[in-house]
Amino acid sequence: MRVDLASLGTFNRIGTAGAARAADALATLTDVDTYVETTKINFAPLDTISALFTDVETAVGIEFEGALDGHALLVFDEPSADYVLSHLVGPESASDPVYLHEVAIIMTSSFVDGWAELLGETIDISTPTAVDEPPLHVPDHDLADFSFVFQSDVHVGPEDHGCRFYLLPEPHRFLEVLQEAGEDGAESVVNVRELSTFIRLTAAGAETVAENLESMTGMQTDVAVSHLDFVPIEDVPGVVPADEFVGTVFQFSGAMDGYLAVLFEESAANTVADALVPGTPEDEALRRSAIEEIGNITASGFIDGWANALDTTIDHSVPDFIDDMGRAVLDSIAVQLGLDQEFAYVFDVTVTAGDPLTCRVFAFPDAEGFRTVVSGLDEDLDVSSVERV
Amino acid sequence: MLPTADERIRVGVADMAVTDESRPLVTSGLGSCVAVVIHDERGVGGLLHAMLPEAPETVDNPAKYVDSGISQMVTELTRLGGDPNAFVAKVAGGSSMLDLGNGAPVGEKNAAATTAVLEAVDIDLVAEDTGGNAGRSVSFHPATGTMTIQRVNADPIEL
Repeated sequence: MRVDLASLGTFNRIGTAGAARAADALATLTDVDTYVETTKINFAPLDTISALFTDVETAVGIEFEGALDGHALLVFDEPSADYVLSHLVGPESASDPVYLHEVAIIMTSSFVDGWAELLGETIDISTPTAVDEPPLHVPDHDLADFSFVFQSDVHVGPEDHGCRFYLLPEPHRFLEVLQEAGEDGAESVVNVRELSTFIRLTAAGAETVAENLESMTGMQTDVAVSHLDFVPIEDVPGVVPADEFVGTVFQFSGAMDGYLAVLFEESAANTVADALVPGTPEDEALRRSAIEEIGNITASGFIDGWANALDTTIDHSVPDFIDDMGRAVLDSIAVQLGLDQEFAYVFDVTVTAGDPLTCRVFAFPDAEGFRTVVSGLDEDLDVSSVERV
Repeated sequence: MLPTADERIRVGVADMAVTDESRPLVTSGLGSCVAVVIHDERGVGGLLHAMLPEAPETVDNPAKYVDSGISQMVTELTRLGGDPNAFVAKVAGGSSMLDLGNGAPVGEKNAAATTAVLEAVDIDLVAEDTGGNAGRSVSFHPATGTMTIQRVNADPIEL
């Protein structure tokens, strides 16, 4: 099936507006300020979707049906659930988690009402239920390999509280709706299977990066999440915290242009550098050199994989070392992309090494080059056969 | 008494807020983007976090651009009771953290556009902290007109 990726923008704008309405409603319910950090669309293999729901302790599920069928999931970590419950205005026994169901209804309605309006049909939502193990709640669509997941991160109150809201439309019907909403023959039309192949290729690149990192540092590594996000340019910086990160940024060019960022939290950067060059914690130049080397290996793992699969060349720049606010780094990349496009395709990969060391890798291909490259892929490509560094 | 964190008004990327209350306006993670604040002596003030220097012909979100964002902020501040003849401005951001793209860095263009647009609408730019290669976070107190800029591993700067 071919879909117009540009039509995802329409759905994302509706989602963004819905998330803002939902956050406003949550602010009214709790009488504390709320803020939508980011609203994005994940396109991910079904078997990895459960990995999106990390650190979940309290969750509410709702089903919807009509013009679109699917599931919604509102998840809180325990402190955030307690915080929201303790601030709910009105209820006398507000500590009862059932009051979070009201929040879930409002958030789901805010999203699906916008979709229903766009499609000119109704979408009904079910009574909310508490969900003990969210990953098991993800629908099992044996006919589809991939699914679209709408994700809104909502910040609540002055401290580090918040919730995540996921909307999982039934993939086949959603693809049909996307197809109907798109323009035939538009340059942004891609084959979904080719897109899936590209994501598998990138996921394989992430595995290679994790293996290389493990052999370089001796630390056991794993790729936690690997998926493609479709994000409004202005929401790109919000995908990382404003905290200090250490890492590298690369520019790549050739069959596809774009940027790649390899970011470690500051303490993680020190741990990795020490693992690579043991016993030299005070030597800033060695630390920087170690981080740049890891960046080089990471960039090659992704970019060479893409180029080899396409039998073409994609070059990357020397690493640009950064030690600064993670959000400001992505802000700079988003601004550059924003000169030519309103939405960004973002590969968001989390590589964990040891515990709790985390490396975030973001690849931002330019929209036009990305569509060209995806369309040039063999949809039946065996990604394991692609030569890597 | 200083306002508590609870009272902050958060401004996102390509976003803007105005207020006549004593609550601080805050925005974080400025790289190439600029934070423009405008206020009058009576404490009516606003903060714009703009991404790009110049708006195209049709604009969905004026706050994304320096020119349309400043224009909209002036309109909203005036509507809120601000005195257009007493408005002054401060700006932070527009850094070149990364060696990206061709031609003049967008951060520099954002800072230059801010100066030009403020001059065109006859608002004095009384202080600025732009350029360089570091990220910034900003908080602005409309009641005092103080703009505080934070960077990683550096003391805060007050404008």
